[in-house]
Amino acid sequence: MNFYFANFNEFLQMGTHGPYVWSCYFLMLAVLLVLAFIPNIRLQHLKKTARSRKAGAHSSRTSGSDSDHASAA
Amino acid sequence: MNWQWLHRFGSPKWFYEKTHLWVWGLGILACSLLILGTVWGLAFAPADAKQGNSYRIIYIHVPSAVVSMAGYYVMAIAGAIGLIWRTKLSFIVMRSAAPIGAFLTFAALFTGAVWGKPTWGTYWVWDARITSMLILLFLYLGIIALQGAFQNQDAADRSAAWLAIVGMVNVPIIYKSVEWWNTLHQPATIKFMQKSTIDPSMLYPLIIMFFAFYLFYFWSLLRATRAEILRREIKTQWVNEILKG
Repeated sequence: MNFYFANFNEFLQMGTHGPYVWSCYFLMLAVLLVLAFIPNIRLQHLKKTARSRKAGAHSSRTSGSDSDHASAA
Repeated sequence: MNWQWLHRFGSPKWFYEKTHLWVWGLGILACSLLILGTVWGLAFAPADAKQGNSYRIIYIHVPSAVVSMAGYYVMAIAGAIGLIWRTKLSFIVMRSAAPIGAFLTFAALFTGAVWGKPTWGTYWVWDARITSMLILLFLYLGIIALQGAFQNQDAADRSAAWLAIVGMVNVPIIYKSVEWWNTLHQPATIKFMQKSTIDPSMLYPLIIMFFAFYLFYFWSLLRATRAEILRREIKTQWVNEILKG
């Protein structure tokens, strides 16, 4: 199996079809990258949500115990 | 009949724990085949006698179109299982499959349009194949929109599942459109029952790309499903343990 084109420049030009072929491949690359990274972004978002939920629960517990002390006093 | 196994398999926690290694395996295999098929198709396969080098778009256009149609069945069947057996995981798979299918359908339409310009002299015609593919994209977008339109998760899942099931009728129409109607789109070049009309030197990288796209689809579906499981089960202890780590 050999490289089909005479040189790299010819490979990039694809005859006169370079812009058609390369635009499709770049779009497909972008689509595959988006699909690959969406779960990572969602995971980061979920971690942030979990942290803020935990901080919220902690602060409400703290303020709850403060008010308990105040009422006891 | 005992359906306990189905409910165990339908448990999000069980699925999340069991699929950890699959993510790595599928990802590595999909990426390797994508690189191999792309390099082979772009640089080593010969040019087409009639279409020249523009035919090289086939290596991404056809697999993305085929997988977007197969992905619709995956989504609709998951929705149907969710409706019948009420398994949480089925609805999670259905929801995760919709954006992946939408992206792949959009990519198939875009690459088809760009391929159409040097081949047919136009980017777009309202023929049966292209129009039914556009309907597929709208179905995917409709299911995504329906999922977001309800406050109640159960109502969102059930209505999206019904739309997915009804929309299944479009998939055989897409497949058969080039035979049932006079279309500008060429008929299938790869045939399972007869001899394919594509030269083997062009066919082999295409077969590799089919496998690559299927593997990529299942890889991204698995990852999206795992992320959706964490979102839906965020109030549980086991998810909090994972998100802490």
